[in-house]
Amino acid sequence: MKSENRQSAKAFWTEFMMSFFVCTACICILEGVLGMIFLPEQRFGYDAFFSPPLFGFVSVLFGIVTYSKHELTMQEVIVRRCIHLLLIEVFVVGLNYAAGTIFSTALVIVLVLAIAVIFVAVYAVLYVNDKRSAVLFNEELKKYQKRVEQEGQETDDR
Amino acid sequence: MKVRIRKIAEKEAEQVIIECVEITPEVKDICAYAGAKGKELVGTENGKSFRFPLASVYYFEALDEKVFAYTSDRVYEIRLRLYEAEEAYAACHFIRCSKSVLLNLMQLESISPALNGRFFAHMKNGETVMISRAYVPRLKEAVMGEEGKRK
Repeated sequence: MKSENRQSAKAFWTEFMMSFFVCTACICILEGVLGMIFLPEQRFGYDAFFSPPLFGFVSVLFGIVTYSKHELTMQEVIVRRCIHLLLIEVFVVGLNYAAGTIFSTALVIVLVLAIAVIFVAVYAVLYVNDKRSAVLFNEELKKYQKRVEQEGQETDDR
Repeated sequence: MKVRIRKIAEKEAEQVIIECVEITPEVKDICAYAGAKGKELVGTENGKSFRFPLASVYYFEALDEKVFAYTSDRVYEIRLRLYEAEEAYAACHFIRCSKSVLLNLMQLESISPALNGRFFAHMKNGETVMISRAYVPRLKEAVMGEEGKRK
């Protein structure tokens, strides 16, 4: 049982790290695009480089709400993902508000939508990765089954 | 290792004798394989007992303290705990894919990703079984070898 828990935790952390890197990359692009459109006069120091990984880390950290020791039903997974997205939206908009960013309605709408797009993109990347490993597994499964059948036939022939 | 086969008259007297210097993991594997090969199980359905080949089982599932064996079109209740079935039939390509399911790799058609890092196991009879995240590496290792754990 300990081995299963260890493997489950390992899989969780692998997903966590992958989500973090994808999320950070997407946030870099988003900040660049939104900044150029809505706040083109704004200038930043070197500390601005820490903003995407910070947002990425906290956003992925909120993913803790999707973790469960027991198996979640599909409905529970969807509900927890919605809570995850909501937490990120509140965090990003709240932090920008606290930092004194001047919000126009258009900026808020675009920001909220863009966060949702990044959220979907992260899960899409994870899904594509899983899909790739499923394809590899299926190819190996066919070989495995063929090998076992041949071994069985050889044993029967003897 | 030398292999010798001697024909006998009675089916009931069929046996495999292994002569070895020490009981290595390979010998244990052969033991488990020989013990399970051509094995038949006894299960109950609607209060009646039936015999059915182990190879025809798609998966075992534990539900409410009972264990059921699913074949292409029937479900039998068997008198084994899931962990006992897991130990006894590991050599016959049965592998745990969640806390409550032990599936037959030889009856597995394919897998596909589900949400939350889990996978669906599509069996050859069209049924779908959930593979838990915790058991995915073990399943990959069984089919793809040590390298499979990393992919």
